[in-house]
Amino acid sequence: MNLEILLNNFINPTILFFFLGLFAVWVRSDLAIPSQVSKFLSYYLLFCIGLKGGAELSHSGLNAHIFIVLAIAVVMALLVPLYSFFILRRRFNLFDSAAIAATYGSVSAVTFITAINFLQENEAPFGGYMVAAMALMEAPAIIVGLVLADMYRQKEAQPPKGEEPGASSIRMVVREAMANGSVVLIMGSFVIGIVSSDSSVATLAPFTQDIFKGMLAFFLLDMGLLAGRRLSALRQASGFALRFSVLVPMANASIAIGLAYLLQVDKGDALLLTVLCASASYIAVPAAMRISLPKANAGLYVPMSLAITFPFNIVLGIPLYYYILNQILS
Amino acid sequence: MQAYKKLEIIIPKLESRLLVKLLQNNGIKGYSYWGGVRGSGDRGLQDGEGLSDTFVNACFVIACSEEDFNRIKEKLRAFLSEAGGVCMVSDVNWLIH
Repeated sequence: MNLEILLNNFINPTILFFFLGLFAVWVRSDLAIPSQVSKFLSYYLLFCIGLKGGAELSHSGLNAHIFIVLAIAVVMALLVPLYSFFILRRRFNLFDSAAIAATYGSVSAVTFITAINFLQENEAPFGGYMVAAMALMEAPAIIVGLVLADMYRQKEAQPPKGEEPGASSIRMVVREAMANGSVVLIMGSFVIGIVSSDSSVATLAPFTQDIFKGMLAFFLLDMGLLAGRRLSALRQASGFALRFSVLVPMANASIAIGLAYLLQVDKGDALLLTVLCASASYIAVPAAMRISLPKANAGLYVPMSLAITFPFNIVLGIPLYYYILNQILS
Repeated sequence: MQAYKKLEIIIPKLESRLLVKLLQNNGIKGYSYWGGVRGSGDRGLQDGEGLSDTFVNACFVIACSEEDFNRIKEKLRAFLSEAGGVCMVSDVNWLIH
């Protein structure tokens, strides 16, 4: 592997602030970012990425290639939870298997934003439509996870949830996931970016571009704090869970890289597609799973995605996938 | 003064809407509510951390007649068994005004 890409990523201040967050938890510092500030930072990043993606799509327009990439994104969002579920069933109960499968089938917006930052620093172009790919990948995994849980619940003669008070239908859960603030904001900004004129989008540049990297670094500090706090929950997790958190994302990334190679997807778009397939949700899906599969252990599937898969992807995964894509794509 | 039952219900915040629906469908219209409740129970630590409400609880305080309570009791039990949470019941007096 080209060590320079990895090293440059490792000493990038954005990534270093993530480690600072982990370090602060390790030394039991009282460093904390108020939850409302965290929420603001995440919304800010989604606002910027959505707007930028929409503005870029309005320039490039739609074509068959874009539809192919979007189709791959949706197919992967359906396939990943399917095979993940059967791998997980070997060791976990029905609820945990379905929730983890949905978590890994869905996507992490922050990993996606970090990958965009990585591409910008390496001056690699990418299509604005990838923002739409990210939004499209959010819900299918939730549906697959819930359908599998329902099918197996009936098979294992457990009472179907629909007959119990407090039960929530798949339709309701998917509606909740799609109405999640993050999804509404990024898709709303994306549409605003498409319909707005270039000059009006440019007037927002001091807010959406000039301070973007600083805000991302500050947000990753917060993510480091969160990941560090969730790490302790993994002390009781099995080695299988830890291995799954790294190996399955890598397998998902390999499939995405293979598809990108077969369809000759542009390098920047291929990296974003790979990162989307390799990432795991820790915002929208856990909230949906908490409602639909409350017996699944959130203390397991959130730390797996937030404390293992997310750091793995932003520190090693992104430069590794980029290196491979550089080797195989012209 | 009038004899009432006071219910203190702590559940995952994300289930709040379903609980409200359950209460209202069973004739209990009034409640007080706190979001952002933290604590630990048999479903682990709810520390309020994170970008979603996955690890946050909510607390409902409800005053209802014994008749209302008896009507909702079993449904509430089933709800708590599925969603997780606790319900504490006490006898209180309601100051009529």
